[in-house]
Amino acid sequence: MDGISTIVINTLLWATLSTCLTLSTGTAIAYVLARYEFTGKNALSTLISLPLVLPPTAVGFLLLRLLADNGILGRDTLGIDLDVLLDWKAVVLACTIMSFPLVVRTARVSIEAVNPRLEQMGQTLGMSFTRILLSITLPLASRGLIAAGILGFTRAVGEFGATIIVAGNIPGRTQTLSSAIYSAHQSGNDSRANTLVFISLAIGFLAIYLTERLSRPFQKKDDRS
Amino acid sequence: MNNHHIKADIHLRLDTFSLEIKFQSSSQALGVFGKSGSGKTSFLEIIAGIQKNASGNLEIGGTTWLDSKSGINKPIKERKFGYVPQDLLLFPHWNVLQNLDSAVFNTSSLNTDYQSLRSEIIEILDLSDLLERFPNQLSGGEKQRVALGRALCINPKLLLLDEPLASLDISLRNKILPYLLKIKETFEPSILIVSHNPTELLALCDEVIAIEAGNIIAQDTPSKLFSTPKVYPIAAREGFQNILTTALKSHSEDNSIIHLGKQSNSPSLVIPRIDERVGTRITVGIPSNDILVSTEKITNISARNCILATIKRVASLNNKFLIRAQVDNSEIDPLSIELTASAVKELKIEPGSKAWLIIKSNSIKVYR
Repeated sequence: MDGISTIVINTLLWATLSTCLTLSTGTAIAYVLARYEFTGKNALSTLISLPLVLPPTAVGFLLLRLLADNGILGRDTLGIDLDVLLDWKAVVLACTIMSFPLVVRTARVSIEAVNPRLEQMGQTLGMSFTRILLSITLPLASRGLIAAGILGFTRAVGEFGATIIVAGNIPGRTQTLSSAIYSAHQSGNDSRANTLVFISLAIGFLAIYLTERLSRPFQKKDDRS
Repeated sequence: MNNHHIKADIHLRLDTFSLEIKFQSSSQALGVFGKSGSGKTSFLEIIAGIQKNASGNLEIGGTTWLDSKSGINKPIKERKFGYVPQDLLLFPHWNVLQNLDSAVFNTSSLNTDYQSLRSEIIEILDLSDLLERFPNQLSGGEKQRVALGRALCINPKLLLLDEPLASLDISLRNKILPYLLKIKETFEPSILIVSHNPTELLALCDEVIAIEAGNIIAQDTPSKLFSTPKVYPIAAREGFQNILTTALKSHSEDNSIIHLGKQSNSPSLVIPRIDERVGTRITVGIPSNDILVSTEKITNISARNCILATIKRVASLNNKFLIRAQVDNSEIDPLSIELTASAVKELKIEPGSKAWLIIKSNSIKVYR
């Protein structure tokens, strides 16, 4: 079973990187969408959600056009080669784009569930914006934010369509769990496919189990009211 | 002008009417009375800085908080007021102590002034047994006290209370009111209290403004304001009570007795038995329709109180009359009494005439 540990480690590492990216920028965007009214808010929200409804291969193709030598973010336009395509960076990028809508939507719902009047109360107590954000809003939304992170992570682990187009399926370099399962199946190596599927199942089970645990209501012990 | 001075000239467009509030006051405790939907909470939110669209001028304790002409609108966090909204807004993820300390940035090094203020607040509001609990482990009255305590912990010059007793049932209201009175005496903040309940305003306020559909319809001491024919009908819907604060004179077997004046011939009032020391200041409420009026002294009667009073005013209210009677030789405000038109006619009640007021001790509500 050569390379399986490399595949698992790479997949988890890239998914983790992608989760860090989506969770940090996603929470910031979710906060803006949850708390502010501005022109173009619906357009922004729709744009962010697009990867959810487009075929992943279409997203991959768009990314490929964007990053190709003559694309908007390509070597010819920028003057430098970002050297993303067919590299681990492409995997992280594809995973990030594909899991972004899930993370933003979940984070937005959890921030919206925090009563904005609690933030106003914080202001009357003289708290700064940062302190209100860090000690009131985000802690109260934390369960939803963690759930968003787990959802984003699992989406990244399972990403296939966009990844295979921008990063390919290069063993030891850009191969992930899902593309390795595809290769194993294509080459008729069922036992390898079985092992990889079992690992995916375990990761998925653990993630969903954690999400369920975290979605329980806040503060359960000795609730009198 | 003193520290309690408030001067407002405020305009705000609301859904169904415009709020146009212009007044000034130097009372320590100012009440804003009106039925729900009269605009009183919006007014409070303008003072708090939460209503962003208000225009006009607002001066609190000599400082300008709002002046649309010169573009001044002091940010909420610089206004330094204690705010207790109707929904209390305790932070659910913090225990009571953390809620009290929420205004403090670094709780690991508290200065001694703050610590002694906090201890005093904890003592006065009886919070010491609750400090470790979370808001969802508190009863309604306990939450109210914690919200009051948190507001006081910033040592505010102004305390804004929005319907502080509205969410509580009657028995709990009677328990919170004494705490409010203690806060008023101990910390001496300016208090602005919005309420649709005349009892708490009568007990707590030095002056009240009445608002209807966004406009001030009256401004006076609470006892005078609530006895005007314009305001009384609104107040009567909430069960109007005459509120007196006076000293405890003595105890009998099943009753307590309070002074109505300091002279030797001042009458006293028999109230339900309470366990307080003689001399303690007591606040009691007498419902305006629980006072009977007689033109002759009645002796063999179960009601414990029969006191002589002089009628000051008789005002007609639809098919009823509201009379104001000053208890003779007393130092309390005149009592408001609701009578039917036929009773006023038959007893020939008119300003200047004498009347005996008959009050059952059990109809008197004791607030402290």
